[in-house]
Amino acid sequence: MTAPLLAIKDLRVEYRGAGGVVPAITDVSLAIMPGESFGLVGESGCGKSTLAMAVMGHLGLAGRIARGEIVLEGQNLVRASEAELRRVRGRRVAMVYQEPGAALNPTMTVGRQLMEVPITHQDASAVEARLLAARMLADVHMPDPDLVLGRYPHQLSGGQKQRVVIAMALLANPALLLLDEPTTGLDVTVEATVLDLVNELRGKYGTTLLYISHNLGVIAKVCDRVAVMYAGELVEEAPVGELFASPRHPYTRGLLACVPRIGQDKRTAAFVPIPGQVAPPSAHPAGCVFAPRCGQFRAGICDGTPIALHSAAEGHRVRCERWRELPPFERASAATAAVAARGGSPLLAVEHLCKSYEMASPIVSLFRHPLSVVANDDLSFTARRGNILALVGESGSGKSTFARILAGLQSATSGSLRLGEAELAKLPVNRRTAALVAAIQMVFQHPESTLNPSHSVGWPIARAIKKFAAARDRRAVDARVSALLEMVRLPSAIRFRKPRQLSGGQKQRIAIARAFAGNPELLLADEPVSALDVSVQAAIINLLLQIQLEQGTTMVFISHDLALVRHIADHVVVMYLGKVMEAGPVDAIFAPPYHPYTEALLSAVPVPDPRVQQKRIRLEGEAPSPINLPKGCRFAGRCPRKLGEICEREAPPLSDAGAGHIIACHIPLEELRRVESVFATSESAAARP
Amino acid sequence: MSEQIHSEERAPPSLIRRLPQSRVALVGIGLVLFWVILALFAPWLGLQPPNAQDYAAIAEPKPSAAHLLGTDPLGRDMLSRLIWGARTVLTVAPLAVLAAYLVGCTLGLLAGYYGGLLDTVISRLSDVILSFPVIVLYVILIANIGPSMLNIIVAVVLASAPGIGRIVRGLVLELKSQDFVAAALLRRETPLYIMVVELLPNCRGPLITDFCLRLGYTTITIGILGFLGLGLPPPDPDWGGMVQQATAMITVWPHMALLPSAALCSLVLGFNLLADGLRELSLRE
Repeated sequence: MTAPLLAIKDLRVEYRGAGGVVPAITDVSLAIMPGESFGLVGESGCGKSTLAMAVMGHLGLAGRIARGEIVLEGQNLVRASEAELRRVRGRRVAMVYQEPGAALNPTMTVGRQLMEVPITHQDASAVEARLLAARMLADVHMPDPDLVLGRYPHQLSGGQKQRVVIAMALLANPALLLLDEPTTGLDVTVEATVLDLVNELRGKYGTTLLYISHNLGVIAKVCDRVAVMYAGELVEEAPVGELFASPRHPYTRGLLACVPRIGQDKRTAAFVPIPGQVAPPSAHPAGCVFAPRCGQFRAGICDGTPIALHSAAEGHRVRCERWRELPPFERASAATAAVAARGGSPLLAVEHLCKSYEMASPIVSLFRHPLSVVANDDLSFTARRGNILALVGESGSGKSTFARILAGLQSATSGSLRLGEAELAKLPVNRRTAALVAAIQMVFQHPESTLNPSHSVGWPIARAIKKFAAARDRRAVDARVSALLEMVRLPSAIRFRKPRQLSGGQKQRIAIARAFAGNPELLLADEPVSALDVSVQAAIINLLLQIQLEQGTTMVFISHDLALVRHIADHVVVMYLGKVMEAGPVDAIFAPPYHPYTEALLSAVPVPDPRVQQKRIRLEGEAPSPINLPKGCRFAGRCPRKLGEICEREAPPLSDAGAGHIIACHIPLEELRRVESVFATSESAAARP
Repeated sequence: MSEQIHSEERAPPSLIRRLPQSRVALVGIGLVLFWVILALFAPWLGLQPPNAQDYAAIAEPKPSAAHLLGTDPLGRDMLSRLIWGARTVLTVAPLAVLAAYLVGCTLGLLAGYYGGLLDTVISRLSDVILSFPVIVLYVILIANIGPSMLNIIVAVVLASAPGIGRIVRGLVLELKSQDFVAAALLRRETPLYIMVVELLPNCRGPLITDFCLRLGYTTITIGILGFLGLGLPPPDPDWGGMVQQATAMITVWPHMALLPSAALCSLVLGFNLLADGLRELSLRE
């Protein structure tokens, strides 16, 4: 048996802070074999990134390895001197960080930063280094590598920067490459190409990977073996197929039950969120760290002494005393939520809505044709009463601009937007009637900025109740605040707390309570869960669905997450660069015929199930800038199925595929219908002759 | 199941409550409180009247049993004049800075929240005022409107408000894009309400530090104006004026100039250390 490339034994990492010593990693042991791709999953605060930093020897002044060892190729890094560590870093271990923009020096050209690596680590001459850098850029599929060498980081897009960072990490030909959330923050189509690249380079250079992510779908795509971390401990480790097919630890099972799955929606299966939240290190229980949130907890077994890792099968370790007794894992959860019937009367009607921004001041535009940014172009769709309409698209698709126009925070340039009888397109919020303002309320994306840090969390709810005259005297307002807090499953006493004392999920609950203070007819949810951990995300989505049903509220749900949209929506509008590409009932969107853009989006979705086979459609480059766009189809420049010149010259016609399913494409509908589904499980593929 | 709130997770106490954690801030507070207490209780300390002249002491003004810190060139008791001088400084400086804050915060909120032409006008006018060397500005102003307590306050407001406005404007520009402002708009709150209730309270961190620093600057300014003869009209004691009257005798009787200078120094140091401590605490969060 070969020796592992990286072996971590009984690792404990602590940080010294103002409040004393805080352990970030309490017990982690793992071994990564040469050539393996090892995934590390967990929610925020579980110690994933600390582990990567410990391997790199970058814990900083406050961090300290309190116990255990990190052995790389036989050398114990914990006891290595700073000079030895420097030799290891870059040469034997390299790291790709989450934020590619922060990993590159903005004052140096890409070429100089890349050339530094061979010059420092391999004593290469400048000419050799330049050649190596250009070759490596070609290997990461950067168009025009020689040109890119002379560019500065700000001249590259996010995906290109991440390619440069990966190239830089690989230039030293390291034995081990650490990737810490390398695709978080990238659009899904760009993420797919970066993941392809990681897989390809791994085959080419034989690099061992330690891939850190919170996204189970991404892990399923690139890893051979997966370890799950919770609250500083490694709780389960298994080969990727086994982990997803038969997870043993209740936490792993909980995580898998929280993520939306392609092929299921709110009608067939509800999310089963993990109750509670990760306890701070000071409040960790004596026994199993997951015990307070575990449905399988048994007193006398799970509390008391720390739990050891048990070997459940060959290469499958689990930190649970009761793993033998747990029922077999069911992939599809039995629970289903009650949902509203599809198709009510239209509530919101959008017709030819346009929004553009002039880039120059009126004086400049006297001399030059002004640049205009088109954020929304000719949007037309309707939202029906009691239904959930989802707007999907990558960054820059104009989803949020539409939300701001609907809420009255901005005015449209032209077109019409009607809620019932009221025309809203050019009516800013301060000119709307109180009833209209109360009718459209919003839940925002960032839990950190949605509440005013200076006021208690109950205050905006009470204020909204008074403003919308739902109640006037203090006792009635207090009662209503309590009722709203109860609706979002928060204790009434939480109203006296400041936002900084709440977790992200609790803040979003407060935001939902605030939005419902005026009994809105229409709730606008702009990426309400994208900043939350998956277990919290599931709970918030369940809550939104339940309240939406109880109150009969219509919801416009904005998201970039197609799997989530598949779960929650009744109708879907797919947007690209301000234009509607495809619209229709959710089942129609996720099945052929597809718009080529939707098809590409679906094939890029990271699916948390290694058995699901996806069609491989990759888009070139990234969405162009929305300044002075051409006349034809917005998607023509990146479309893998482009017909020819007509796509660039003429706006595509709208074809009706039945049941309100609209596709904006030059390709005839019959041809689009012939496309196979993007998803196929290996079982059904095997069943086919 | 509902999410539990961590009952053990207490709110970190406010900046003022955590002051004892910073040694620097404690020294600053000590210095400031020393002068504040003396000034508050000046009438009951059994001091000689600050303007009473002891002609016998003029020939030999050095410290003695009758005059613990000696007398000034006119035979007035130094100790009494220092403490009564503290009373003046500690009234004028906070009043002036408070008034400057009132004007500065208003301008900053308006410029930051509305932007556009209003912002341009306010910001450019501020630039004009800030382009003057501060002392020259004070001298021109006081020389024109005459030295008095009210006029000193007016001058401090004119010279400090643009700087305060600039700080507030910067903070407001950053804050107004936050979602809680959009949420307030979606409740049909008025602009005044959003500025005062939603935005201003979130500026307090940087403003508290700046307030202490500005108290120090203003103390110096009042001293300089007194020294230049533009301070409070005589005969009431004023630290700057005391230094000025003593300059002719500085080689013979240095204590007459050094004592008020030291008093001024210690008070300014107190304000500055307090500001440093507050900044340190706010960064430690």
